[in-house]
Amino acid sequence: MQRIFPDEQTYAEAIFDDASTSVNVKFWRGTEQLSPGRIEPIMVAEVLRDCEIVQPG
Amino acid sequence: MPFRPSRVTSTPAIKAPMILSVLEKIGSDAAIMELATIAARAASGRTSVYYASASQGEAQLARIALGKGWTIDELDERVTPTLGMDAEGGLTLSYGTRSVRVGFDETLSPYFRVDGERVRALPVKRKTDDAAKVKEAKKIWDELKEDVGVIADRRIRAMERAMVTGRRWDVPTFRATWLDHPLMVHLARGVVWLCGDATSSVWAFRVAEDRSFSDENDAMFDLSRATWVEVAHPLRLREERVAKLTRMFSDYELIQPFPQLAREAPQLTDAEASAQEISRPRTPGGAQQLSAALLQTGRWRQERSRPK
Repeated sequence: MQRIFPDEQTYAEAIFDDASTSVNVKFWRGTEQLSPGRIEPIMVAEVLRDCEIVQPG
Repeated sequence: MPFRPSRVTSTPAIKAPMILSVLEKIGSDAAIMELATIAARAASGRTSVYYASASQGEAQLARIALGKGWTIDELDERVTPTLGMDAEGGLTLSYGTRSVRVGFDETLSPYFRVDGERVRALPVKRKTDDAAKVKEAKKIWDELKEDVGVIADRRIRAMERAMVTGRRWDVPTFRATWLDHPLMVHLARGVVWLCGDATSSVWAFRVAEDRSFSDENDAMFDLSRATWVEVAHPLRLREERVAKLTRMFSDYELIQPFPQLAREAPQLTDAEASAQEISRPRTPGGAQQLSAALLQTGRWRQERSRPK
């Protein structure tokens, strides 16, 4: 699954395991992989929120 | 009564594309407003006599916006209909000897004021009411509620998108778009705004019932010191301010048009910030179901291959 960010060059890639008990999120700008710390924090938060990574409570 | 193509529910298939084309060629705010209403109705799942699919309407609006050098959201803001609302953001329907006041809450859900009482349904006719006027009022209301529903859905999504993308307005545009518009002002009252100046000063505020501004301590706030305004993302507000504003919104019984103050805003750990990827456990729910849900948001797409 990929989420496109507003500039359409930067995007997140989320890969869930089969049981969906974990998710791996990577960020890309074009073909370059970026560490999450280089992404706008709101964008990171929104991606993590979408992925339902945050545990209830 | 002016011709409103968006109100046409049946027309020969051959005429529909022509009407769309004529509206696009006219290109005035009123014409684009009609197109936007038609497209929004198609996008909201209603059967459209104009568009075979919702994406056709969006594509036409995107083409118009591109031609004018606007984003699709800027186009929407310029042509959002007022639907005949008065300066107070409502409408008075005549029942003859009495009147019914239509108002809206912060989610653009309508309510009625009758004899000082706030009710959710259009009042039934009394013996003392003028039957013809009640019939006319009901007709106006039926059309209005459908249009408001379409506009609310579209503009609330745009507002949330603005928060997520950090879109900013200069103060005059903010006022014109959100305060001076008799429908949009209701949505404006339902969210927390952030503003700032050329330095790094940032302030949070909300729009009160009388369109004045209040800060996080509910004190009068002067917007003239600001140069930009944005919809506040909770991550920018910080937890303490979110808690304070949440209490304030609860005290005033304000309903937010989309999750803002209650929005989860997860942050990276130091280790995650410098890593190449984030790996987190999550509540089991089935990968396929989750994928389908993400696709429905319109923000995600399925991609099988890794970027090259």
